Amino acid sequence: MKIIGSNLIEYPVEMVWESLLDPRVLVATIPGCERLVPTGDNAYDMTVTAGVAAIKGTYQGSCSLSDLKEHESLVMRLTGAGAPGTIDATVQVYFGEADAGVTKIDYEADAVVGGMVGGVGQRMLTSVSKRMAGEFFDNVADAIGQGGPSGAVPGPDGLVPQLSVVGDSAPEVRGQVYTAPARAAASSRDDFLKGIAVGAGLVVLGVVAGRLFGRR
Amino acid sequence: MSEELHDVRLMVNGATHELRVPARRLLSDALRHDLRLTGTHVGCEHGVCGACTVLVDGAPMRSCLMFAVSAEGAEVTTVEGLANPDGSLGPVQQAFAECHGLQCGFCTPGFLTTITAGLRENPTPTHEEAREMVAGNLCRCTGYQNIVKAVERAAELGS
Amino acid sequence: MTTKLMGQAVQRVEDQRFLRGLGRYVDDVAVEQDVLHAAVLRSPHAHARILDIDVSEVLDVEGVHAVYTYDDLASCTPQMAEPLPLLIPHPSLTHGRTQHALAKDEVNYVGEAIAFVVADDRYVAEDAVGRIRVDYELLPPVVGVEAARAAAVLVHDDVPGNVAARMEQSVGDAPAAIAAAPHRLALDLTVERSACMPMEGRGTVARWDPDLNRLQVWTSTQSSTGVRAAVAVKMGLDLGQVDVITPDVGGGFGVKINHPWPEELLVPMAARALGRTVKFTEDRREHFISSAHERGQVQHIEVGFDDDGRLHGLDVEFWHDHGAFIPYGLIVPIITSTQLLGPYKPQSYRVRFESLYTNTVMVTPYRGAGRPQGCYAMERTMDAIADYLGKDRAEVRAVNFIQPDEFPFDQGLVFQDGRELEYDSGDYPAMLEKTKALVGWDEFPAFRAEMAAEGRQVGIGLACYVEGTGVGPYEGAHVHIETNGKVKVATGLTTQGQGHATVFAQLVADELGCSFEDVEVVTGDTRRMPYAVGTFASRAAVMSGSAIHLAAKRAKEKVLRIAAEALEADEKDLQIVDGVVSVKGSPGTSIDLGTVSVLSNPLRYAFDEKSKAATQFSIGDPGKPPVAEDDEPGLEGKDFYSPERATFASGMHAVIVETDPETAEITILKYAVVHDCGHLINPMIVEGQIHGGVAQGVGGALYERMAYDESGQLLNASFMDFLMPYVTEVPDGIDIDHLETPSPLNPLGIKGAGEAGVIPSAAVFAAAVEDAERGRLPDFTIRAMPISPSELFHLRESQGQEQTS
Repeated sequence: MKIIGSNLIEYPVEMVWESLLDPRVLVATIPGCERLVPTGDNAYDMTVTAGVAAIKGTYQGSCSLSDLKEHESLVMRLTGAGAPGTIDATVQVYFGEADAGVTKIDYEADAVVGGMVGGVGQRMLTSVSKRMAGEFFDNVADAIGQGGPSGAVPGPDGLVPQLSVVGDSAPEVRGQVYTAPARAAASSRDDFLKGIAVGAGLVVLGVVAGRLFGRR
Repeated sequence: MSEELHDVRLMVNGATHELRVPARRLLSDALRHDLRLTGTHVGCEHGVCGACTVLVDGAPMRSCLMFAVSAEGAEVTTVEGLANPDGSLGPVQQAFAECHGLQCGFCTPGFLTTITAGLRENPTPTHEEAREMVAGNLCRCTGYQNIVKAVERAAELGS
Repeated sequence: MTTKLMGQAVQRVEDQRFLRGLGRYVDDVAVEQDVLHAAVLRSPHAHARILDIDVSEVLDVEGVHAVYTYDDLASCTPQMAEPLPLLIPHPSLTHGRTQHALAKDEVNYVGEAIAFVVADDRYVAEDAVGRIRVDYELLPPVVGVEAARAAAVLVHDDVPGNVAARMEQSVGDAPAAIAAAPHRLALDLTVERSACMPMEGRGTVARWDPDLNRLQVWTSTQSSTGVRAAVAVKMGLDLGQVDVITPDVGGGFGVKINHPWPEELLVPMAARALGRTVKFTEDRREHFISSAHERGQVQHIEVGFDDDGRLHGLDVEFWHDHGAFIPYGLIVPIITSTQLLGPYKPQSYRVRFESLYTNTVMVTPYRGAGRPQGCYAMERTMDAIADYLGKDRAEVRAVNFIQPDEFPFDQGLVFQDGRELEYDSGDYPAMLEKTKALVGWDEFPAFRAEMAAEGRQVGIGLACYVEGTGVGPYEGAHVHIETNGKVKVATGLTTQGQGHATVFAQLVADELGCSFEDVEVVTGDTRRMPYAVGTFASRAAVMSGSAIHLAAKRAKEKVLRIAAEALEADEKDLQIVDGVVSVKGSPGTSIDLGTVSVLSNPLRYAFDEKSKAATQFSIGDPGKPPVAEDDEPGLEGKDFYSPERATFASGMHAVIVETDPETAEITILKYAVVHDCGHLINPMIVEGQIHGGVAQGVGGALYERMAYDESGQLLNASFMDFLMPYVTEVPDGIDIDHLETPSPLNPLGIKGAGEAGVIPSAAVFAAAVEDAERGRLPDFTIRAMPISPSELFHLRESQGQEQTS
C-alpha cells in the first residue's frame, strides 16, 4: 500500500529536524504512543495504542531512522505487531523549506499491513494515516513552540527531559524509557483517533474492537 | 460521537421489556432486533406496504413510521401475539391457512394484525367491507383473491 | 385405502410457521447482537467517471469497522476484482459487459455500488455512507431505446452502437411470404419497464468459521447452487468449503435468480476479513435502483395474411433495453423471440432483435421473462388482422392454431434452453371454447349494447399464450427415511412462496405410501442437495417434482426389498399405507418404515432399543456380506430428472373492462382464465399462482412503469410513486377453468404454472380497452403499454383530434 502526503510546520527545518530525532519529543507527539525505549542510534522500541473510530488496539513495535541527510531527508522503518495485525512500513521523508521559517515535509510510505487490520479497507487506512500525520506534525509544532515537551514524566535521573532548541544535539540515553505525558484535556478527536504516527509515514495498526478481542 | 440512548419500556404481546435505544430507532427495528420478534417484517420503510403493521393499543400502525421511544407506555401486539394461549392458531390465522391466503408469507403478519383489528371493529363485514379492510396492505404473491376470502372466513370462525 | 394426494388441495405445511411470525427470512437470520451490518454507497449519477473517493469523514463515526472500495477487492483474491460473471453466454452476445462488485473508475447507472461500509448496526453504516465524498466527472447518459439506438453517446466505450447482441432466427422466408400475401399490416408497439418488486428485498448473511475452514452464506436467492459456485470462485475457496442456505424468501418473481449480486460477494469478503458475521439487507429504494427491471421493448411487426386471417408470414423486429449490464445474457429477448409464436403456426417467421445498453438498472427476467412482450406483439397483431378483415378476433386466432393432432409440433426455432422449440402437447381449440364460454364471448355484443344504452362503455379482450416450462438442465432429489419413520426430502432448487414443501410432500406421500405429516422437505440448502439449478421458468414442479417422484420410487424399491425379507413375503404382495408396510390382505404381517430404516443399516453398536434389531447378532445371513456389493447402508433414494426439452403449458385470458367516458377510469368487470398446466399436484396452489400472476399483470398493464428521466434518474423509486396493485385494483373474483393435456416428457405429466397469470396481461388489457373505446372512436388504437387512466385520457384526446381533423 502506498501512502503519499505532505505537511507544513511553521518552524525552520533545523528545529524540525532536531525534534524528530529527539525521543522525548516523539513520545509526547506521536498520537497514541505510550512508551518509547531507545535501542540504538535513532532506533526505538515502542508501545502504541492505535485505532480507527470504534476499533482500537495496542501494538508493540519498533522504529528506526536511517540514511540521514541532515536537514534534507531520512528513511524511517517501522514495524509493529498487535492483536489486530501487523505493520511493516518504509517511509521516505523529505524536508524542504516552503517559506522562510516554514518547513515542508513530504513523505512516501510503502506499507504492508497484515492480519485483521488489512480488513478495514485501503481508503480507511490511508485516511487514518494522513490524519495521524497531520496530528503528529501539529503536535511537533506545539512541542517546538513550548520549548520542550510539557509535563513530561521525569526519567530515572529525576530530570524532566527538555528539548534543546538550537545547536545542541538531542540527548540520547540508551535504555532510557520515555513515557507519554498525562494528557489533561485531550480533545475528543484525540481520544477518538489514537493512531500511530511515526515520523511522516503513518499506518493504522489496531483495528479490532477491544471488546471483540476476547471472543476469538 | 456516540448516540444518546433512552430508556424505553415496551409492552409487547403482554410482556414488558426494558430497552435502551437511540431516539431514532424505529419501532419495527426495535421489535425485530432488540426484542428478536422477527415476525414483523419491513417491506418498504416508507409506510406504504403495511407489512410492518402492528397493533398499538389495538389500532393498526405502521411500525416503520414510529420511533420505539414513542411506543413507551403503549400495548403493542405483533403477529407473535395473535395465536391462542395454547399455541393454536387464532381465527384470522386459521382462516388464512384454510383459504390459502398466503404464499411467501412476508406481507402476512401485516395483514393478520390489520384484519384482527378490523374484525374487532366490524365483526360481520360485507364483501365490500372485507375488501376495504385490507385495501391498505400490499401483497405481491397472492393477488388478494384468497386474502379477501380469508377475511370472510375469519369473520365466520370468530363468530 | 388412502386417497392419492396428487390433485388434492392440501393445506400448506409452511403456513404453520408463517402465520405465527416464525418464518426465517434473511434479515431474521443471525439476529444476535454482535453481527455487523452493511450499507452501500450507490452512485447518484447514471453515467460518470469516479475521480476520487474520500472516506476521511467516516473516521468520526463511531461504530464503523470497514469501508471497502474497488481497490480493496484485489486483496481478497484477484478474481474478486474482475467483473461479475456473465452467467449465460451466447454466440450472438458479442459485447457482453458485467459490472464489478464495486465500481471501478466508472459508474453506469444510478444505484451502482461504489463503496461498502460495515458497522455495528445499519443506522451507523448509513451514517458512514452519508459521509463518504466522491468526486465525479459527469458523462452524458443514454436513456431509453431510442437514445441507445441513436448511439450519439455510448454507455460503454468499447461497445459500438450500444449493441450487446444482434440475433436472428427464422423459419421459411417471411419477407417474401408477406410480400406475396393477399393482405399486409405493419404495427409499431412499445412496452414499458416494470419490475418484480417482491415484498422482501435482497439480503445476504455470511459467517466464516475458522475452526471448520468453511464459509456459511444465507442469501435471499432463487439459486443456492449458483450463488455457491460464484462465491467459491470469487473468494478463492473450494466449492466444498462453501455452504449456501436459502432461508425463507419473501417473494422472488425472477429478480432473485440473478447472482452473484455485488453484496453476495462483499458480505462474505467482509466476514472473512473482519472475522465477524456480516449481514446486508437492502431497503426498498435500493431494490428499485440496484436490483433489476424488465419488460422494456420497442417492436416493429410486419405480417402477411389471407382473407381468413391465416398468417402467411410474420416478420418481427424489436429492440430490447437491457440496462447498463447484461449478466443474464439474452434469455429475455430470446424468450420474446420464440414464445411470441404462442399457439399459432405462421407459415413463415422471422424474428430479429438488438439488445441495447442504456445507463439504467439492468434487466433480468421478471415473471414471464420476455413472454409477455412476445404475447403482446402477437396478440395485438391478431387483433389488428381481425379488425382489418372485419372478422371475430377469436375466429382469426382459431384459424392459426396448432391443431391437437399436430403434436409434437416443432416450431423450427431454438428455445432459451438451447434446445428445439417443440411443443409437446396442448389443445388450443378446446381451450378457446372454454374461454369463450367462461367470459361470455358470444353474449358480449348484447351486453355491450345493454351497457351503451346506459351510457356506459365496455370492451372485451382475448389473449392466448404458450409457455415453455420445466427447462433443464436437471434437478435432483434425495429422500431419506429415518429410523423414527420420518421421511426427510431435499431438493436443491429454492422456494419463494410456491408451497414446495407441501406439494413435494404430497408427491412423496403418494409414491412412498408414508403419511403426509411424516414428510419434511428442505429446498435450497447446498448442504442437503448440492446439485441443482434453481427456481425460474416455472420449472420447480416439473423438475424437482419429477426428481422427487423418482427418488421416492427408488426409496420405495429398497423399502419393499428389505421389508419383503423381514416379513418373509414376496415384494409384489406388499403395500405401504400410512408408513406401514404390510402384506396385502394380511394386515397383521407388517413392519413400519422406521423399522425398515433400522434394518437397512447393519450395526455393530445399538444406540437405542429399536436399533438393537439391526445389530450383528440379530440380523443378517452369516454367509453373505452385511451390505451387498451393489447396495449401500441406509434407507435412501436419490435421483435426478433431466428432460430432453421444455414442456409447453398454455392458457387464454379474457377480460371485460369498462372505461369511464369522462374520467377514463378503467374498471375490470370480469376476468376469465383458462389454463393448461397438465396434471395438477395441488389445485389450490396452482390457482393461487394464477391469482398472483393476474394481479401482477393488472399492475403491469395499467399502473406499473419505471419512470426514468433523461438524465437517468429513476423518478419513482418508491412504493409511493411506483404503483403496484392493492386489492382495489384487482378484479373482484377471477373465473378460472382448467384444461389438462399431460406432458409426455415427465412421469407425472405436469407442466409449469408459475408464470401463467402474467403473460397475456398487457395484450388482453390493450385489446379490451381499445375495444371499449371504439364505441366512440372507431379507429382507436392502443400500441403502447401500460395504459393508465390518465394516459387513456390523453390518448383519447390525441386520437380523437386526429379522427375529427
